[in-house]
Amino acid sequence: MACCVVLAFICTGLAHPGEVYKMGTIACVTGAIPQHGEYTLRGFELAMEDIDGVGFINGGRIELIVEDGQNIPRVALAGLNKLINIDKVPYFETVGSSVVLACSPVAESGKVVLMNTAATNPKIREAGDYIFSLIPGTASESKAAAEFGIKTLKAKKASILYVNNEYGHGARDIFNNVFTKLGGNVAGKEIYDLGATDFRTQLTKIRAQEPDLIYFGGHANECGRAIKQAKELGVGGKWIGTVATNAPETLSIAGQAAEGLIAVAFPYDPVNGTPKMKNFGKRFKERHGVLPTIYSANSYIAGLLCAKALWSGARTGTEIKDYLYTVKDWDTVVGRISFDKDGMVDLPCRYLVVKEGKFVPYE
Amino acid sequence: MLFLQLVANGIISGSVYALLGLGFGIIYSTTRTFHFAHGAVYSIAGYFAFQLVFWKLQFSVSVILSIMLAILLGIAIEWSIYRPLRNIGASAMEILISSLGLFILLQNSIIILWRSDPRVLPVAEIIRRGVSFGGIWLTLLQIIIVITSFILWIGLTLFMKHTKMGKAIRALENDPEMTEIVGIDPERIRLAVYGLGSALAAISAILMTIDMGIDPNAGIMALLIGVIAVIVGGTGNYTGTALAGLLLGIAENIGIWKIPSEWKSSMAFGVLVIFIVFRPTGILGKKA
Amino acid sequence: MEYIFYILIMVNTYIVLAVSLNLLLGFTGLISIAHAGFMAIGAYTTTIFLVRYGINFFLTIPLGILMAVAISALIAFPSLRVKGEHYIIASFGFQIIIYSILLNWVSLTRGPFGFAAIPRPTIFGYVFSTYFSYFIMSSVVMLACVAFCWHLSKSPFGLILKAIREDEISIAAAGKNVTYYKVVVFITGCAIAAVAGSLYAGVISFIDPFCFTVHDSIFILAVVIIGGTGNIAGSMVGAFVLITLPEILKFLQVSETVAGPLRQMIYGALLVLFMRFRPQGLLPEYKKR
Repeated sequence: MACCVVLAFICTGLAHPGEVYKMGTIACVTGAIPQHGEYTLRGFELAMEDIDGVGFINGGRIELIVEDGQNIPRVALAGLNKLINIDKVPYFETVGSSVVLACSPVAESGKVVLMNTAATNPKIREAGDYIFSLIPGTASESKAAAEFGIKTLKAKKASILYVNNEYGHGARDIFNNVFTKLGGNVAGKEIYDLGATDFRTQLTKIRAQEPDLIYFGGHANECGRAIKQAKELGVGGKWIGTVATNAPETLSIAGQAAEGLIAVAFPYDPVNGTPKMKNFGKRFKERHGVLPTIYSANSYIAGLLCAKALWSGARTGTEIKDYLYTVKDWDTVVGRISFDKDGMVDLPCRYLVVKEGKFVPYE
Repeated sequence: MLFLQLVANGIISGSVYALLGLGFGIIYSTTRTFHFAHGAVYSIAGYFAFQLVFWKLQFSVSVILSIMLAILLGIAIEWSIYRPLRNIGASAMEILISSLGLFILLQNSIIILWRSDPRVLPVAEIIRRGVSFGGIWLTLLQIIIVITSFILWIGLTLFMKHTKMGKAIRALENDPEMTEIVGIDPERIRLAVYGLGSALAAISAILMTIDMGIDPNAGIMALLIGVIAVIVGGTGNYTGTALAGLLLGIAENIGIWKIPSEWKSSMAFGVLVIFIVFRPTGILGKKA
Repeated sequence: MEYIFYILIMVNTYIVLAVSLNLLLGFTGLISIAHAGFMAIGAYTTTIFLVRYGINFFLTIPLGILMAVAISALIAFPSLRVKGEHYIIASFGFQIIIYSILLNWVSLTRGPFGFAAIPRPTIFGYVFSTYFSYFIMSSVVMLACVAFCWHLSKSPFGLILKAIREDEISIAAAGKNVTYYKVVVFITGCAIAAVAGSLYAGVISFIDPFCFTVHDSIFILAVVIIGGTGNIAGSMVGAFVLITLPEILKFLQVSETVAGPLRQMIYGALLVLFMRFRPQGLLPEYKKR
């Protein structure tokens, strides 16, 4: 809420009477990872409330147009086509490494801002001037996971289980490189298709590799299933998951089997973080009964950023882009963020572990 | 050890594949209709069971209701779609295409109702606990699956050999004209066959939904596997079909021992294509 | 406005796909659900040569045709030994195998990542950067393909194809080598499908294996059947109707989540209804049945 009071002071509002500004989102409403659609839309919901609370001079408002991308590039592109050509949005948010990489050239040539709130593939850094990310890439978190494995867990052998798309491949490559560089041995890399429910084949192979540590590069619902089946199959070793696995679905699907799972996380902590984070967490929990993931926090910020750009007078995609590059050291619900010259943010990593059915900081 | 575990995994998948083959096979060999919509009957049974349990209905009641729904659906399709088409002299191709259209229709209504993320049928946690049998890990659930499939296969074989209805079905399969002359009503038998095949599909679907969950693609894959089992095992040869299903499961799992896991599904199709092209009568084939 | 041209480009693409499948299905009686696989071959060939080697788009089209000819020739002979309903299953198998290869042969096709930022076609310095210009270009290509197929259907070759569909045994008895005709029409149909794939890759700027699945093959089949098997004009009408009508759903504010499956349900229902009440499709092959 304090954030919005500050925003109100910097609002110059050159709005026309009752003008409707459009902002788009290509969300995973259905498809293999619908929980991400939920994260996105719930974050936007809160952002829209706060934006309406501040308002525009002369009664303008922002309208959020939702397209279902299903985390499938071709479906997302059809939605993007509509957003750009029919709805004429200058700014849209989306998730999914494959989707972001597929949409980037279209956004770039259409001079429309793409705000990425969840995708971590390393190639996103070079995707274009109009491409921004609110989440640090795999380069940070997979590196952190590998370092943690070697230094803290003293693991010598690791196996990687990863999803067959840009996201999973990115996680695999970075973890593999860092882990081997630090002296570890990657015994196996097993791949699975997006949305898979049967990991027995891969887990059987992993079990034979006898790793100290299993690195999971995929989504929360898939992690939940995999770790559950691993217990059924008697697969040993500690599990480390990517940032995406730090979500309620992992716990609800895996149940008991999730005990001991370690997840990499960013400073964002809706329970014990900064006052801003705690307020956000409380507000979200009261409304939806669960704590917000970092993805909801990011889409919340994505909504606010669009509003900030519009309040500063930017209207076209190019103007919004120029505005975003001026955002430096802004205090948000995920911490202090600045966009570097490639449109990326940088945040330090920390580690969580599942104890008694909850994600808590690793001691 | 890895090898034996893979074989065990293969037997588990394979026993479900055998059931899928039997369900599709009984319909195909008796009616000669390529019942594409069978895949949708499979899916609907699985989702329906999930939904009933979700609404807190008792587990066994949900299972029985789902099987009944599948039987009714299979019979309804034959009665309202295939039979009228046959009566107006539609060609096999036209019937196949309407079956395909029906499949698309039903499949997508599932997507609208249940979205695309997988649904798992919950059961008591205890049967999911893995137990080691000398290094090979199995869960009670998986053992139940294998035993159920085996019992159903035996049951079906006995039914076909020793009951009046079973013999009538075999009669229709072997010689449709003779059946009519002898006084057996082929239309009634067809309805029974669709009911029986759909029931088998429903049971396979429920087993899978418990074990691994069901998603919109499960239907078409189940159909394909059923078809492969029938073609490889030999149309009309139920023992062959069951064995083919079992072997397919084992082959799939052993295959990924050396071949990277991502090629797993194309292996099944590779086998299929080889058989279709070079030996359409199947391993233990009876007739083309 | 641009968006309308985008839809018309898709119509053109699917007209090419439908008329080529009609050669197989309508004229020769081969039900194939592998057509999207051959579209993919054209799309990937064009993309790989365009993006990796900088070959001009228009030169990649014949390359795509060559690839499709090679691969279809490989599977033509064995698959044509298969009869009737087994054929559809064999074609399903081919579709899955082509899809698997595209998905897993990562060094060649970039697997699940696909190719992004595919550049627009250029010719003598002119770039087809607007949907309008692309529409004109694709219409030219489409008309060429349609003219070719139409000519083929009216030629003696085409008449023999129809005869094969009606009564294969008599034709064989009359001394014609049935297998030769089937093989030639199969290869021709797949080669033209590849052209459609090239058109698609040139406009959509991104391809991955998931763009060419069995569901797309089934859609092409629906277009041919509903449009009218054995009738080239029917395929054109079918493509136009089945692509533009669902777009209306978008304007009725139906959410995309429901619109996608709903569209499919309409295709499915149309197939069932047409088979029951009008199996010859919208534009029948002959005036009377």
